Amino acid sequence: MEGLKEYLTRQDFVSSSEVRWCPGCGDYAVLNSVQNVLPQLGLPKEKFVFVSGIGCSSRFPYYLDTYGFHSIHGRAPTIATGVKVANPELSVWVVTGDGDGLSIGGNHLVHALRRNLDMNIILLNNRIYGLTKGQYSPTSRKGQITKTSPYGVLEEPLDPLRIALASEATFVGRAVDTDPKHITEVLVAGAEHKGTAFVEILQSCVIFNKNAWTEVSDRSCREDRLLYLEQGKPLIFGEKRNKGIILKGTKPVVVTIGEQGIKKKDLVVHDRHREDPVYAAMLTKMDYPDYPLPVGIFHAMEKPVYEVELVKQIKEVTALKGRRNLQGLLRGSEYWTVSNKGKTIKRSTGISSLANDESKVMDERIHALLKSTDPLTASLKNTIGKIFYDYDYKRSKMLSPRDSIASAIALFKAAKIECILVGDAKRLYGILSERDIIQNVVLTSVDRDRMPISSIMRPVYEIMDESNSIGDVINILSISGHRHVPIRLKDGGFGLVTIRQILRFIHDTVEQVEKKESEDK
Amino acid sequence: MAAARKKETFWSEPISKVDLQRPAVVPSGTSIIDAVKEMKYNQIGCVLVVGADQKIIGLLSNGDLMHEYVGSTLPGDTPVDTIMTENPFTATPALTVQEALEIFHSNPFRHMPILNGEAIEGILSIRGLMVFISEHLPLEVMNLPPDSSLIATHAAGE
Repeated sequence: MEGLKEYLTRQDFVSSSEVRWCPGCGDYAVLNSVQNVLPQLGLPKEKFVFVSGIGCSSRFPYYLDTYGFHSIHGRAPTIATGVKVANPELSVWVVTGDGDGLSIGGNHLVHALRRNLDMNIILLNNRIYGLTKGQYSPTSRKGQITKTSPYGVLEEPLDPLRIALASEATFVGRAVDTDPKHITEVLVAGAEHKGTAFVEILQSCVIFNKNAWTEVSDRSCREDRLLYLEQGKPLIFGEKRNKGIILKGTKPVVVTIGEQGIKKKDLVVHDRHREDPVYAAMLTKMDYPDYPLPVGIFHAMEKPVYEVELVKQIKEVTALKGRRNLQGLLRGSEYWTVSNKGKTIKRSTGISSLANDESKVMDERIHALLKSTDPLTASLKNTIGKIFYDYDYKRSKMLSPRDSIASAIALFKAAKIECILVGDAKRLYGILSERDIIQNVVLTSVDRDRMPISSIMRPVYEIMDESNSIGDVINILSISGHRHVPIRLKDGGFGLVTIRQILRFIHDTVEQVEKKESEDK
Repeated sequence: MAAARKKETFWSEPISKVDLQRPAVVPSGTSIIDAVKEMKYNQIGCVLVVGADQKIIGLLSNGDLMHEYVGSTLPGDTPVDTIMTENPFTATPALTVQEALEIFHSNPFRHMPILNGEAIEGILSIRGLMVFISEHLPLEVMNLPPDSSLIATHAAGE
């Protein structure tokens, strides 16, 4: 294969399709660079695949004489993932743009990056949707005037490189369309990197965003406004190569060599292999005009490659469990039957699928978790009915909503209760507590003989069922802020459970447990 | 298999770890009407009555009001001292959760002033105590689905 390096030339990768980008578009320069890079990689032509989404940049596959896939919007990283996993020997390239990659496919890009397949992603960033004629994109500058932001963009732009770093990308680089030689260097390094190489290429859209990057990429001022990152070398820039970057704390500062005693050795030395991404993130924060804009390779480190790990895992599991049959799995016996009423769900018994042992272990864990060994917590699984019938159930009183406030007061006094249910045999309308009476009767001059209870009762927050667990009821009482909760009884009637009853139950349970423990001793 | 859960240890925690309610306080001699307004304003079911030296001399609860005032012939400007519970049960912040449970179990009141020396730390209510206990039982009480019949017994959701 080494011999092929000599054999293939740029011309071998030029397709017969007529290139249709606007005259002056930076895509031409990037296409040329890519066509220069491919022969250097020592692979036969049929091993290259270019996958793109939608947008101007996504026309790339047509213009390269390789395999290609002009796919759906934002999904190029996903389709490329499938291509690479199925054919790990291929050299897979994704070409996307700021809209396709960061907006429509933002989520796909992020996950492709963290998966770290051995592939290359080129993101052409012109800060605009060009193909659809000039809407603002996720990287458009704040204040930028576009067709969809006639008075200026209000949003903060995304920085593709920081997205890549945050997505744990193992290779992060940047180049500008006006420096094809540098693009080639970065792309070759990316292609040789084992893992996903993410390269942002800055370019202007001649029609809709002519000056997206010209202030830094223009040939006349490039040396002063771009900082070319070189491994192991100090951060130096400027036409006279006399400016550099030092660190004050974590803040980069632009200095001139020879001024204020600054020497070349004081400058930050570029190391793209730093494990923590803080340094690389600092570089991405540097932007013209406060700083020169860094270009080159920001971050590069080796991490396990997804498709290698996947193939390894498949081999290991196959050796252990033998080959499995997909049809067997799909038609296996693990299924659920839902009855007509949608109530009863039955699980098949003869489970023979792959996860048999695992699911059994997990079920056991859930059972262990639900089966508390502590007597108190176990007791909370009793039904609330137990508390209702064991503790003062005769004290639950009900009045009709039409009864007078005076009759409620008489009942409160006679029965020495804290709360009364308001309703009839069929319906519960509300509850009336001691507090409701006090605050209405003492502070206002209601006619207690004529006004009905319904005028001062509180609506019911929640009616629990006799079969609800004590834990459920405590939960509702905690959430509702009430001291009483109505329960619906099996016979259709209603009852009332109070916090005091629940605390009595807890108290008695604890007492019994302690008594038993001392007897056991 | 997950390890069996240990016996709950929060019973011996001091009551100072429970969220106490901010007390409503009125001076001795305040009218019943004003005391009720103070309770309403503070959204609490009792009001503490203090003497000139700021020491607690009584506690007025909704229960006191219901049984001693509502339906009686007393006018609204009667001093609270007439119907309040004198020398109410108080406790220190060192009281344990279990002791507090015991006290509420054997007494009819729902609120207990917690005093640190003579300073009023707050009011311990039976509700506050229940919430404290329930917060220690996330699996049984706090983190439950709205319908307990929905609790899954199998990992796959049956």
